[in-house]
Formats: sequence, structure tokens, C-alpha cells
Amino acid sequence: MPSILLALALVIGGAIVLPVAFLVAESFQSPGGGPTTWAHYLEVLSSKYYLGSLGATLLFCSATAALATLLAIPGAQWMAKRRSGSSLLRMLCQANFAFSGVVYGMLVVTLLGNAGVVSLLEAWAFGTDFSRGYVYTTGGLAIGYLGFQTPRAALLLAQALERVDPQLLAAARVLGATRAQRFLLVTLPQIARPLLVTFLAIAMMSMASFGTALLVARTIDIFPLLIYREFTGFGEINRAAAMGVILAICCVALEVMARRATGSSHVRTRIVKSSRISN
Amino acid sequence: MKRRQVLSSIPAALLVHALPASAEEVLPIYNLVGTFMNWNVLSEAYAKKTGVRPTLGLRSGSSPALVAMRMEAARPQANGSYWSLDIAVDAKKEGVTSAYQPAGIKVVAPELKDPDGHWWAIASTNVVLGVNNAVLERRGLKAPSSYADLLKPEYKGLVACMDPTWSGTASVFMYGINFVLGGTRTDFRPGMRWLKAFAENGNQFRSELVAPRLAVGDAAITLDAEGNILLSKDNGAPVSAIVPAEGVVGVHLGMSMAKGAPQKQKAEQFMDWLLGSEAQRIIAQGYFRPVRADAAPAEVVKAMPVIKGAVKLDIAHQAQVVSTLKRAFLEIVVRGGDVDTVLKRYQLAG
Repeated sequence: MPSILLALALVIGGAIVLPVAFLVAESFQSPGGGPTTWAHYLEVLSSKYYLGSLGATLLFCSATAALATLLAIPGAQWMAKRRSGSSLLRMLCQANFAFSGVVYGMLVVTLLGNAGVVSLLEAWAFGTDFSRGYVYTTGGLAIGYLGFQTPRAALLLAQALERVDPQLLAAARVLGATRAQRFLLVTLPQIARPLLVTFLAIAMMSMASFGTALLVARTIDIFPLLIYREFTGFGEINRAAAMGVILAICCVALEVMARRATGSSHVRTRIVKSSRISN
Repeated sequence: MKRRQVLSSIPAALLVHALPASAEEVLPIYNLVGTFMNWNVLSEAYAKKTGVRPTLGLRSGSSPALVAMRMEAARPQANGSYWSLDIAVDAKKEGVTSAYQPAGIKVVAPELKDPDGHWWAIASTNVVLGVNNAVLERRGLKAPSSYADLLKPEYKGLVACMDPTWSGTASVFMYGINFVLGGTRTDFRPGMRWLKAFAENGNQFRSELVAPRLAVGDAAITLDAEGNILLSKDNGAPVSAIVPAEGVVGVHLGMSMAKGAPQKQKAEQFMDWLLGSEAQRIIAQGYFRPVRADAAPAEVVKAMPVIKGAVKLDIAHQAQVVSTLKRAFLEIVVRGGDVDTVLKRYQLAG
């Protein structure tokens, strides 16, 4: 047992603590090894451009993650109830993890780009080109994000849905609740927290995702792309590090806020649920 | 049983294939992009000849290569890098390169090599227009013949160029277009106005190599190194290269040795080989222009576009302003800022 703990400590230390410590240290250094400074943080936090990009990225990722979570419900339910074909569906969702961001971005371009499958079909069927280059619009970017968010959301949700107590549903049925009532009053309160947790996980994952944005984001300045540009395009390693730390803090803050929110709503739904059932 | 036998033989078969490769020594060099300047052929030929295989696809782009070498300065991982010469000048200033005079350095023109040996050109290319004839024909469009054409409404959204913030070739183009269109070393407004108008016409600065996108028709028109376009043509894509009427930006590409290169001697031998006639011929077969002009086979010379109005660029000056210019480019072209206001702030408005 202690050897497992040691291995765990090594992995966490080596893969998380050390790099984060390095990142934080870099973010306070002047270029070329001068004295410790807050300048990079001040630069980023006083710039309308960087803040605007951070805000837009947060908004975009939250919005798409929320939509992805909702879109994932039917599929997740299908998998949770192990209906026919659910293992195939699960496999397809898992296959999504095999694609790195850039590869996935390329897939979206192949589908919705200037010479994408959709636009070629459209040109062939109608002779028009409305969908040409759709991938480069905000809607196209959203489709790109939803494409990797939804399957992952479905897998996370399915796990939670498997734990919905079937006895409560049976009881509700016996008491004469309709299908809609059973979903709204019994299932939904039970999955409200998993829904929120899924939304959060997906939103955070999207905040860190960048390959898709690298290839197709034209209308929104996705913050991770700005970090990448500072790093590789300009070699501003310290500023890029400060931006990374800011992004990480935002994500953690979001998580903490959401945990508080879900904590209380979880309690509330439980009370609501029990009162409904006792009625 | 039979199936199991077949399956169990797979690992062994893989092992047999893997063995010769593992006997090879790997020579990490940054920014050898396989599909650029025939690097995949160069690397293969060198590996076959010497058993030392230069790495392909480590850090793609001149700027990413430089950043990596800076980050690893305390413990260099790569033996050297391939890049556009303005970035090489920067790299010397950053202190991540070391001096070496490769065999055959005499063939390199004095302005294309560092007197101390920190960088030297091995080839050059010209940024020209690439067109996908099939796409243009389908749309009933004539091929464009000038930079001015690309701003016309009929070509709206059809043109792609690489993003100058990562691509060395594109950043040289961003710098050079200014001189083609009448700008000076202190006044970058003519070039920047064109770049802004280019983007405002719905055209794109892409983060991926644009030659494959042109070949499949995702981009109908590109601004790209001539060799990339001609190589696609060789491979059967319906594309051709057109020399823009206003003039041409040439890009010089070269090598540097890394300071503290872990396999110094092996890397030096590779650098020597790159300036030799065998490597120079392979470069020419990828339709890039080798520094040994006589290394190019006659049929390649015939297929190359005839360049008129090439502008002469001052590599030292370019290295000095390119970072500022990239910042200005982002503000003006990507974020839609005003050309005069922004360039004045950077003191590049005359």
C-alpha cells in the first residue's frame, strides 16, 4: 500500500506540481532573468484585448458546454438504460478521445470547410455555396466544439444516469405520474447535480482545448491561442506563463463557484423531491 | 488456430521491420518539416547513406524552433535548426547558436551567411501565387495575376496564406510585401494597407501548411513558396504557380548549429552534406532554389517560374523589426486596427 501511495505522490508531483511550480516561477520572471516582477500580470490584466479574449473564451466555452450537456441527455439515457446499440454508441463516444484537437479540427474542416463535404454536396445538389467556409464562422466554431464536447458529456452523464434509482420511478408510475412528470419531477432532480458537474467538466476541458480553435477560430480570440502565440510566435515565455496562470485561476474559480452553487441546489432538489414524493 | 498463428506473427513481423530503424542513430534538428523543401526525401537519403536520421517534424516553424532552443538553452535537445535567416539572426543574438563553417560554405553569397558562422543559407524560394485551376474554372474565374487582383470582390474569401506569426516564410512575406508595394525601411504603411485589405476581402492567414489545402481545393488561391505549389502539381493536383505582376518576395532559408549541440560532430557532418551537390540536387527536385545553382537538374530549371521584380531584402533590418511588425500585424490585420495609428505608435509609419 505505501508503495502505491509513493507512486501516486511521484506521479502527481512530477506531472502536476513541478510543472505548475515552474510555470508560476516563470510568470514572475523578467525576460532574460532579471528581478522578480508582477509586470506580466499587470500587462495582461490591464489590457482590454487580453481581458476581452478571456471573457469571450469563458462565455463561448460555457455556452457550448451547456448546449453539449443538454444535447448529450438522450444519448446518455440510451447508454444508461443499455438499450440496443448502446455499446456501439459508447464506443463511438469513446473513439472521440482518440482524436487530438488538431486532428479533430482537420476533420471539421474536411466536413464544413471551403471544399468540405457539406459544401460540395450542396453545390452538387443545389448549385449554391451557402455552407462554403461555414467552419470559420462563430457557428462553425461552435459546431467544432460541440462535436468533441457532446460525446464526452454523454459518457459522463451516462455514468450518473445509471445511478438514478429505478424504484423512485416505479413509485411515481404507480402514483399515476405521466412520462413527462416522471422525467421532470423524479429523474431531473436526481440528475441536476450530475448535469452541472458534467457541464463544468466539459466547460473546463474546452477552456484548455486549442487544436480545433487553432485551425478554425477566426471570429473569437480564443485565449489559449493567444497564449500559444505569445509563446511560439513572440517567444514571450514569461508573459505566456502569466497568461497560463490567469487561465488556470479562472478555471479553478469557476469550479469553486459552481461547486458552491451545486452544493446548495443539490440540497434544495432533495427537499423538493421528498416533498413531492410524500404528496 | 490458423488465425491465432497469423495474429501472433504480427509482433514478430513488426519487430523485424523495426530492427533496422533502431540500429539507426537519430539526429534531432528542429523545423525539418517533411512536406516542405523536400525534407522527407533529404532525411531519407541521408539516413540511407550514413545511418544517421535527421528528425522530421520536431518544432514546425522558425519561431517555435527558436523558442524551443531558448527554453532548452541550459540543456540543448537539438543539434541545430532550419529556419528563415531573419530568425537565425535573432537566434544568434539570443545566444542559442554556435559557430561552424560547413564544407562548401564558399558557394554561399556573403550577404547570405553570418561571418562568424552562426547561420548560412542553403536554399531560397519565392512567394508566388498558387491557383487551383479546377476550382477557378468551376467558379468561372480567371486566374489572378497580381497582388491587386486578390483584393477584388470576385476573389473574396478564396485566398489563403500562412500566418506570419508562426511561419518564417510568411513572416518574410509580411516584411517584404511592403517593399514590393513601394514602402521603405521606416514606412510600412503600403504593405500593411495591402495585408489589411487582403484580410478584409475575407482571405485567410492559416495556421497549417497551405499547399495541401490548395491541392484539394479548400483554398482556390494561395500565397506560398513556389516549390510547394510545383510539388503538388507534380503529384497530380490541378494547380499552377503565377508570378505576381508587382514583384516578388524571396525567402532565404538556412541552417544553424545549436550551442552545446549534443551530437556536435554528427550534426556538423549533416550540415556539410546539406551544402554538397547531392543534397542540393534533392532540394532543387523539391522546386526550391539551392545555393549551388548548378546542382539543379535541367528539367527542374525549366519548370521553375521566371521571377521578375524580386525585391532585395536586408536580413539584418528584417530581424530587427520583424517582431514589432508581427505585433502591428496582429493589431491591424487580425484585430482590425487603423494602419496609420498603430504603425505610428510602433514608429513604422514614416
